[in-house]
Amino acid sequence: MPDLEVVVRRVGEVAVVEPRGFVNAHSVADFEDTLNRLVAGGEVRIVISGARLSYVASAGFGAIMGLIEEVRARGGDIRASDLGGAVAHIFAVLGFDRLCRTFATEAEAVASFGEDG
Amino acid sequence: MSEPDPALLGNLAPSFEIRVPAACESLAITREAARRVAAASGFDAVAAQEIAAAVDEAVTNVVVHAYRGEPGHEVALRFRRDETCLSIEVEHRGDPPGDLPTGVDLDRLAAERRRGGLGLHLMRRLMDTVEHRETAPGVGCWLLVRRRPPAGPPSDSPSGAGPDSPTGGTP
Repeated sequence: MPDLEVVVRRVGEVAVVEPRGFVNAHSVADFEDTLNRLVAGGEVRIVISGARLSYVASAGFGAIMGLIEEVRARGGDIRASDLGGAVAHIFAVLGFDRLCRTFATEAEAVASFGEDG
Repeated sequence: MSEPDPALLGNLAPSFEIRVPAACESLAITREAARRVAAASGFDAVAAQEIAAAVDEAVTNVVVHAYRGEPGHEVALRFRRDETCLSIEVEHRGDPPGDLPTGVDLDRLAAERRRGGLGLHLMRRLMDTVEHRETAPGVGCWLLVRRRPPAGPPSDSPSGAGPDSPTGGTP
């Protein structure tokens, strides 16, 4: 079984990225490539759903950090939802919640883009 | 903090070493080894996960930066347990990390589109001591230390995680 599978769904104008498994230095390339492809393809409203994510190491946070300002400069954002367990814990420990907005559910994260005006 | 589980401890020596190839494929092994040693040393599930995460970052640093992803190298993990702390040495013969930054500014890193720089910050948030030393000519070593809180009421972890902190499953 692979460490990571990355599924992309579209919900309205938002691309929802759902990494399933474990993001660390071993698997981060798949996660990073997915984000890069989306942004290169013009997607600027991105939600990362952590519903099926078991752990993210610093490499995974780095993939988000390296893109988030580029996306914001183009009027979008990268937001996160459904962070639970170890993922939420490391997110908070790292202070990443100050950089990346988080929501309890994917629906809330998706809806938040509509509230941006 | 809980008392060490005798069933988990088994014949686990106070000090021992494991060696694995310095490759990303080894991360699952070193992470799980660290988690189990921490749990067997009496750390609760949150603390054991934190220690495992810190070891994951140290080994990643060795693989990616010290050895620059080159195959054919090895990394040694040396675990030492005593009544006061659990220490883990992550030893390598690759490039030293240079001067370690004292802090991290996430906003600045993001503004610079940086993808790295978070591993050391995370290690420091999770452990009581994080150092890199040259232990012999050409031999570098990350030293990670987590103090064992006194038995009794749950105490603060370096990350501020309390007993109600989410722990999640074992990754």
